[in-house]
Amino acid sequence: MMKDESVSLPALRRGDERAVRKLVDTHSARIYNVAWRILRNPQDAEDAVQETFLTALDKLEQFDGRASFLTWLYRIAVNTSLMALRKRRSRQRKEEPLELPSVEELRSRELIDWSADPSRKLLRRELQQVMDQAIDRLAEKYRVVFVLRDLEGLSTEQTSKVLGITPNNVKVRLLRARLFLREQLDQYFHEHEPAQVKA
Amino acid sequence: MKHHRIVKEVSAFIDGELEEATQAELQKHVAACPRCRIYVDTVRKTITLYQTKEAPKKMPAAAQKRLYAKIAIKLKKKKRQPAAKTERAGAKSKTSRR
Repeated sequence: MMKDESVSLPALRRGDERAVRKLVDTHSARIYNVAWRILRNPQDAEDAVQETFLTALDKLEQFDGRASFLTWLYRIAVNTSLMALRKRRSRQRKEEPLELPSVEELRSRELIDWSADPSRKLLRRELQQVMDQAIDRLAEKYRVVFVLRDLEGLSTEQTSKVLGITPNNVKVRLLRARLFLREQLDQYFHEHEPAQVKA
Repeated sequence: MKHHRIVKEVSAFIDGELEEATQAELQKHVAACPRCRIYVDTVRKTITLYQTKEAPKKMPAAAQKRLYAKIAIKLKKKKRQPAAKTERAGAKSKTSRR
């Protein structure tokens, strides 16, 4: 993650409009994306971005400069988005526990190779829906790691700093998130793509 | 037993985060075992499918405008706050002197 010393902390603390504008211009796109990817809704993402920058301005005194601004903003954005997600989920339904097949179960199953499936098939609305539903079902602690590591491209170390968990915990959650999502897509391809290579 | 290891460590294997010797050993196994190759490839494909689908989204211009407006209000409030605090403190001390 880049270090952004170009944004002056004293100027920000003084409430200098140009410095604040620079901070927003530099980071709003990434913050919008991470919020969108967690919340999966443009209005909620916009609210989360506003909340992130307003909270950051309020808490500038607490920023100690040990992490980069972006890491710090990511942390606020992730917390804000997760709070919004919890609120939304408590109105809808409770999170499901993450169920993954055992190694033995996988061994006994027929495996279909859908890895060569061209990405243009993504255009199929049905597959997109399956992907949306799968990520919606992913419990937040796994979803957020998947978003930061695989979609935002953060390293294990950076993700652990943003979330305040150990690198090993990041790895464990990422494994479970990836396997859960793979499992959902695998079920789709079993049902819809019977002509694929089997092993 | 290597099948087990692939399932348990597929994520670290894909990311190249295993120790060099383990990585090489599993790589060799994956090349020779069609089931494990499919398993690894479909996990990789899952990631690339999501990366393609969830490509970065541009923040709408109207949303950006609203963000700047909110921040401007916040900065104005922040600038007024210390003055207001001083005034309040001043008023309090006058009251207490009375």
